[in-house]
Amino acid sequence: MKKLLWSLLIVLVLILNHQDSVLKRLSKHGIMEIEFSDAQYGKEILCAWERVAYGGGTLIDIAKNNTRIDFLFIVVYTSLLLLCSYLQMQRERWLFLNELLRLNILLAFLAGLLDIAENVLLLYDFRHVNDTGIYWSSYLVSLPKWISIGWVIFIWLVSVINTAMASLKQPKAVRIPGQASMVN
Amino acid sequence: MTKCTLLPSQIISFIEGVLSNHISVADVAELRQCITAEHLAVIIQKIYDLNEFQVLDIAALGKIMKWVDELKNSQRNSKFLKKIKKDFRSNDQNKIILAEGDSWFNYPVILSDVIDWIGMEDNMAIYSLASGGDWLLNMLEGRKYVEELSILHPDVFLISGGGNDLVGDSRFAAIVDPSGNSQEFMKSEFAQMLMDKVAKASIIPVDKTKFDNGVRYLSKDFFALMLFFHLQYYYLINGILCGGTGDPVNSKFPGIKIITQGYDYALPSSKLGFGLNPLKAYKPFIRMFLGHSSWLKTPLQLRGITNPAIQENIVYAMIYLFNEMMIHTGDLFCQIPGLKASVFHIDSRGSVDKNGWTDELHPLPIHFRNTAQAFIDCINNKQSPHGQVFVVNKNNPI
Repeated sequence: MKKLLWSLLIVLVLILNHQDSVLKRLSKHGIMEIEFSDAQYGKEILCAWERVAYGGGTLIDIAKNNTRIDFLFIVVYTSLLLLCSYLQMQRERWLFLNELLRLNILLAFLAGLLDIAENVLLLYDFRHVNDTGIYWSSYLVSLPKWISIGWVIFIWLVSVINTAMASLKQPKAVRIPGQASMVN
Repeated sequence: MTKCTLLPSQIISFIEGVLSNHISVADVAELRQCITAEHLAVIIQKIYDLNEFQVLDIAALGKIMKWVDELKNSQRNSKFLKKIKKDFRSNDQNKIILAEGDSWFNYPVILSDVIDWIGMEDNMAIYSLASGGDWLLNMLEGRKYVEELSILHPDVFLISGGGNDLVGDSRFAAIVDPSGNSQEFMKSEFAQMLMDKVAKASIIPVDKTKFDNGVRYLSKDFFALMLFFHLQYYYLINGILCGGTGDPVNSKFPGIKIITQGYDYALPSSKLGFGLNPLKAYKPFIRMFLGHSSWLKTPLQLRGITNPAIQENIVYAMIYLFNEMMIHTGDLFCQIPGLKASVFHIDSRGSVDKNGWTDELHPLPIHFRNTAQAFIDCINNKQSPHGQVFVVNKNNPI
């Protein structure tokens, strides 16, 4: 399961990155930029994409395609964050970190929901690219999403390092509480 | 070696004694030697007023629950196999453990349950058959543990069961007497024997007021169910330790250690548990979606028992008696020559404080960890001041 998710993640990252590089190369604006832009700057980016023709359409089509693929990416990365946090929870003996990993499960789920909301907003904005005054900024959704993802990864890494350090410290013998050391 | 000496008509008469809560300790002892899976099925059908298929139907796990449980078990069991493949068994100090049980042993994903914590021990490899929501009846009927015992030949067999048989599918409503004047605890010698154990309170101190208040609401069917659990556990343990004969010479698994557990005083509640602590943010979600209040609070309300203090007392008495019954069942085996250190009980009574519950039945992970520590001590042959009983230390430092 984990291997499958990692493989899918890599494939999707490559596709999304390729599309993002096309957008950046031809308009100097990438997807991340529009996620964090306010209404005015966001509209400017959309207009810039709309002006550039690409493959029988415009760059907006690339951005739309990218957002649609992102829905699959959300499922994959959220599942991976959930799975990694859960599996690490099974190894983390330190209760405080164990509890934080449990919180990770909720945060990963929340990040996925926020990302879906962000994509819905972006698709709405793409559809109304030529309508003046219609634009919903995704900034307020994107920021907590990235904070959640960053926090989840940070806690997971801290826990991975913690358990690795703990196993290094432990002597290579069986530890039996309440009995004499088994170390040779 | 003890053999069944009862005629079929006598067995039927004794089963009627179980069902009506009018049976002597001597008769229970005789019945234990003769009990079969078919007899157990008859008893439960009569207690629940259902036919065999209906009983199995209500005891069966929901599809989603089963899927989630299997997912968790498959992850645990692949970890088990990884350890085995590293020649885990070549070290005598390492322990192979088979676990069968309910949600205290397999809680869906979000909580670190007892088995999760035990599984973190380097010298323990756990193969889990546990399923959240599973009934003891199902475990015995399914006999999955029998197959795995033969394959794994574990050092330790852990079992946690009975909770869902008591409170699953609103059954709790059927085993209380809302009048509060029940005298059923006086009507059978077996119930009296349990009450004597409560009076001695030799392991866990009893709150007499709470207990006396609660036990008056426990009906005939509750005590019949206690006897049923006693017979079920006896049947299960006898099967493993004595090949079903009462004599350890006939065991296929010599030296195996069996560890049971008996839950803590759960709290009837319908509160959603919202709070400011982000580390407990999962509590309201669990309470909203995973059955909170449907096990204890609502069934008691269904029977018109609405006073929260009385509700609490009823569960207190129920869990106290359940643990005493479990300890008594284990004791019977410890008296058999050659089985002195074979059956142990983990006693969690009083280890979870009022704010220590995730929902009505399941404590917070810290308390699951404390219970797990008692299991770990027992598995590692640490000595308990209470002999075969390991009391959970609520202030366990790890």
